[in-house]
Amino acid sequence: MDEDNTVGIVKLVSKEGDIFPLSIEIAKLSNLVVTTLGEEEEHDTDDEDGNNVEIPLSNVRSSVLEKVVQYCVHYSKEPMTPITTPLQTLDMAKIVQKWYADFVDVDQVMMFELVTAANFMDIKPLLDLTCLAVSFYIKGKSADEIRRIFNISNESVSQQDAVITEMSEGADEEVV
Amino acid sequence: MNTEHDVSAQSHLPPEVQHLIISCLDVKTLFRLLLTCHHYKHIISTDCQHLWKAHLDERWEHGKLIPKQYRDEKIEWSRRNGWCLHRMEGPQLEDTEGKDKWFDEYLYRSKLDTMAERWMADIKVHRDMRSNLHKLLRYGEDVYDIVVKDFYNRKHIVDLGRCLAYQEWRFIHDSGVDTCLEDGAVAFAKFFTSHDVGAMVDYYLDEMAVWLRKRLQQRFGKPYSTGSETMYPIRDVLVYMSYLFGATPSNAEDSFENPFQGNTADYYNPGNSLIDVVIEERKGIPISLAVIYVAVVRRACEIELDVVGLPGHIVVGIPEELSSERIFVDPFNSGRIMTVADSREIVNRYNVTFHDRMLDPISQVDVWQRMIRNLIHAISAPIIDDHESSEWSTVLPLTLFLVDEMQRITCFEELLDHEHWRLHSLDPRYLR
Repeated sequence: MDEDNTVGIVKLVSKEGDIFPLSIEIAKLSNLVVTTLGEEEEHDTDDEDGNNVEIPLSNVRSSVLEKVVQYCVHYSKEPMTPITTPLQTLDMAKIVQKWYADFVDVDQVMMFELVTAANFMDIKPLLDLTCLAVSFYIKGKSADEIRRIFNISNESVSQQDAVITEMSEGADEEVV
Repeated sequence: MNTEHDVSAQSHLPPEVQHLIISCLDVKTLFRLLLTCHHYKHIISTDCQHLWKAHLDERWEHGKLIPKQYRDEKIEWSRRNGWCLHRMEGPQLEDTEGKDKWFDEYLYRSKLDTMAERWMADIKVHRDMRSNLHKLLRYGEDVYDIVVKDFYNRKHIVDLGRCLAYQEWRFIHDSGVDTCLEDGAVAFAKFFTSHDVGAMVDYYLDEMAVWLRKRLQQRFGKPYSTGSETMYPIRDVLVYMSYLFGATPSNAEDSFENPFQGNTADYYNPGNSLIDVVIEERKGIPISLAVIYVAVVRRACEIELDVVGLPGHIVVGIPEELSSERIFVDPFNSGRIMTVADSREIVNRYNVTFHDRMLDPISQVDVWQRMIRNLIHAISAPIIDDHESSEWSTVLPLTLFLVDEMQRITCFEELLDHEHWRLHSLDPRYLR
């Protein structure tokens, strides 16, 4: 009946088998964690085990999981400003706090792995942030460059509408 | 750096992640992503309509759609009768509210903007001015944003606003749609400003109607029933209305903060005939005050009062079915309640022999025509000997709002070609 039992630790296990302990309260930012803990409770009548749940994340690499944990820890201290679209500004530091803007200042591979991890672990704010980072990353890139980034094979899209081409080439007059 | 695993992580973004990324993109990048492959083309041009609606709202302020009042009737009437209140091309949004067409709408508006910019550039260097300007005006509200953006050309805005005002005027007269007295007053007031007169007028009329209804409810509770209709005693309605028009109430709580009054000091000011100016200044001439009076009572009590055109004066008439005795109200003089004898006295003051028929209500169209004639008179009287005055470029087009002239103009092209329809943009006085 002791309520303090709920302030336990959850152990996130990376693809490589590294263990990242995290307080349950913080880890609950991930809906995957919430769901898994819920299932554990149902199956395990033994309360004592609640403190030592291991959650295997077999498709998240250690370096990525480390970032995810950093994110969750920081989020518990300074929650991220929610991202609302359409964006009102193109200045990342004005959309979210500086820490978060710096957080996603990573190379392309890490960025996409973070997206995948955030999606898999169902961490909504992290997914929003990383998707925002991807959108910034492809902004101003040509169709060919975007194809390369998204690994899209070069298929031609028939162009009935000249306006579309014009819009994609036109001068940068859009505010957003 | 790119291992096998990394590549597959990028190429297999789940659909919801793709949507999230897309929702953060600017328009230009959206179009580039659209060009990358059929998959993204489909998502962007079909699945993300809400996103395009947001981008539309972001980019264009005016003419997202024709204002909602009488919208469908306007579009239909305009299309059938050679006017340009409707969109010429582009998706027909009225069928679906555009829910699945915002992408097409965005393309259409972009294309139109490009064309409009070209026309304006040509006008600026005096190339085919007339035909380019006509092209511009034909697209009405859809090019407003481009015209507004080019703020050196305020005269284009004026021309565009006037063309829209005239067409709305014609719609109200010609289409047979059910209109209120104030609709006509709003339509020709739009001739003088590019602001949304209709919304402003509606707002204040409704505000006054709420004030009136609140007073009546405090006094009587719920309106009482007479057969099929429910209403308050008409006399009391008129008494409360008089407080809106400057009478001093016996109970200070019933005073209206900013009442209307007759503009005796500046009777011939053109603004006295423009409903938006009258509402803003709270001063007007009998006819414009009567229009406001009738509008407020209708909005508060669902009663349609009459406008009575005495020679030299306009008063509001109470329909016989509402009052056993024939009574009238003079909004110009603090909403004073008058009898037939009082009306006779007013008429006699103008040295005119009184006739019973003078107390008959005048039609909506006649009210509007009188307002237009007042307006024309007010503007032209001071400049009648000054043929060079720039005010003529306002007066002459206004004469086309009169019924006789209206019959001679049957479509938008004829309006543009009419010698009296002075376009600011083409006026040598305004050309630099």
